[in-house]
Amino acid sequence: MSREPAALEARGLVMGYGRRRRPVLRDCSFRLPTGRICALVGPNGAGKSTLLALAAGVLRPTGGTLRVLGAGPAEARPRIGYVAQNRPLYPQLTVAATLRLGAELNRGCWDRESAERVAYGAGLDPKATVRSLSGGQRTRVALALALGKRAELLLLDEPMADLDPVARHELMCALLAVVVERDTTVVIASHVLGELADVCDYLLLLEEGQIKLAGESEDLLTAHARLTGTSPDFAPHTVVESRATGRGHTALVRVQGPLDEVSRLVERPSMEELILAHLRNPGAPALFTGSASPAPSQEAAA
Amino acid sequence: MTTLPFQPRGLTWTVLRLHRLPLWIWAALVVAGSGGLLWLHQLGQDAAAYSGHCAVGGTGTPQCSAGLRYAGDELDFAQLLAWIPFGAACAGAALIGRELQHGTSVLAWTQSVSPARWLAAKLAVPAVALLGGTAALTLMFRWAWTSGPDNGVNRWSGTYFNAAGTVGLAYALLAIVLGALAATLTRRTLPAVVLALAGTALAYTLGAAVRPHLWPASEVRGPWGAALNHVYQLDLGMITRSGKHVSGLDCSDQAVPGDLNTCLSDHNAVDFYAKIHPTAHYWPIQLVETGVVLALAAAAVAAAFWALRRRLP
Repeated sequence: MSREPAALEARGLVMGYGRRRRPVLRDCSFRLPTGRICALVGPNGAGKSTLLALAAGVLRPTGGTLRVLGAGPAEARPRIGYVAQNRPLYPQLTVAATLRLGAELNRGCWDRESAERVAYGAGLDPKATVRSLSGGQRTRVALALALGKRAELLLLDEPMADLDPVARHELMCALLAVVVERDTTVVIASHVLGELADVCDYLLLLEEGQIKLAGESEDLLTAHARLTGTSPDFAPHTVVESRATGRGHTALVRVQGPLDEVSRLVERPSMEELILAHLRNPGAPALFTGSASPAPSQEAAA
Repeated sequence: MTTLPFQPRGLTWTVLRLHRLPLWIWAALVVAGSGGLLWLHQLGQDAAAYSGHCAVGGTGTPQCSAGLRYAGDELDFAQLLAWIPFGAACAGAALIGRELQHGTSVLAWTQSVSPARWLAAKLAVPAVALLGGTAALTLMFRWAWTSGPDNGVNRWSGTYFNAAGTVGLAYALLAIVLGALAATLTRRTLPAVVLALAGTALAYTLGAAVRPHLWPASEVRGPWGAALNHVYQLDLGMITRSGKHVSGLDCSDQAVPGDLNTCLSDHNAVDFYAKIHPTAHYWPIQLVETGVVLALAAAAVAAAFWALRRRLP
């Protein structure tokens, strides 16, 4: 079986900062096919930023391998766009000079129109220095640089965290317009799913340095169900989370067979519920859909 | 940027634009220094014109004070030039350390500039500016110094040796590279600056210590005369009857000064000796030391690239 190169493919990825400290990523494996808009969700400190920095080729992993667009992270660097969480920008430059920098460093492939549309969308003054910008305005400029590069893979670390709701919506639309037009793969890291749920068609749930859920949002949702019944026994389904309610027992289960719709109330959980249930119950086994499982090994693929 | 005769592009444009302020400050310093050295040259010409009429110490005509002023100002300029490497060390450490500390290097690396190219440009552009400015100042200083009055300055004195020769350029280059190495090792500005300054001071100290051994020294015999004031004195002493060179023997303990033969026989010696570097060794030693320092700088560049790559895939 041969598959086209994935946007990201991690195998046993380990990343630790210092020998004495607990590794941030521990045996992290997953696969992200190209052309998806993927939410990378996890609580604070789960390793989202580290994973994106590794994918952007600005950190060296302690162990394991990571392939980006079918190449090593260093070779793939020219093909990715990365917005780091601290929005690194040169404080002494003006917004216009920052965009000029993007154009100078990406001569021949710079998408000036998209970059300017994102940067100046909210009436940002081109002559303002980056030093004087607010957090949200810096995000705009950083995003404009990443978009202007015409990257095949965009890695955005908490891109919406410091934006107001109006700007969020507007920027998300601008981002999607570019992404859909170019068929870019996007990874958006966030500790809350929020409005990402409507935008993203792929999910990576990262918890304590390991992937707990990975796959198409739809497939992940259909693999789970919320059951309400009188009996606390939900066999043969795998219970992710269960609790007693007024009229019986409710559980979020991973479906393992035919659903008995006669004795139980069967509902479809929301993505938010699904994520929260997994975060509250770290013991639940990990679930990878077919496209999210890394190829078993090189020999098997050949 | 419009006044530049060439139109910088891409990464060069970026580095020039990012460090516009430090580069302008350096350019202003070089212009001011050149102006000062021009003035020093004029002062030296005045002093030289009157030096024939003035006794040692600058008494005689009122113009004789020009000689004294010239000597003081010349030393000031020599010291300023000899301090350039310390400024270069700070610049190298700050320009690169600040980016690594605040993560702006990541911005460049993910904007299609590989880390190695980034470091190369961040080193090359400031190094070219530094070497150009330092070379201009060194040449102007040599011009003012060699055309000025002979005020008894020893060309081998550490300050003058660094300020008026090729070693000054080499040390400036080594210092900026040490700054880059310290920055890639510590990835923070302040520790990098401290480390780079310490490294530069160490290089200066080691250079001064090793300098006399870079070229075989000459030996002169006979009583020590005023000619020794202008050479690099390594060792002074007497030669005993057995032919042994005994360092440090002199005639300061003589009851009646002046009679050298009595002095020699008192010390059971036959002659005086002085191990020196004559003026003829000046440029050979300058060039050898320059080569050694440049080799060190090359090693530091390699180490800086290694330190940068160490954390990257």
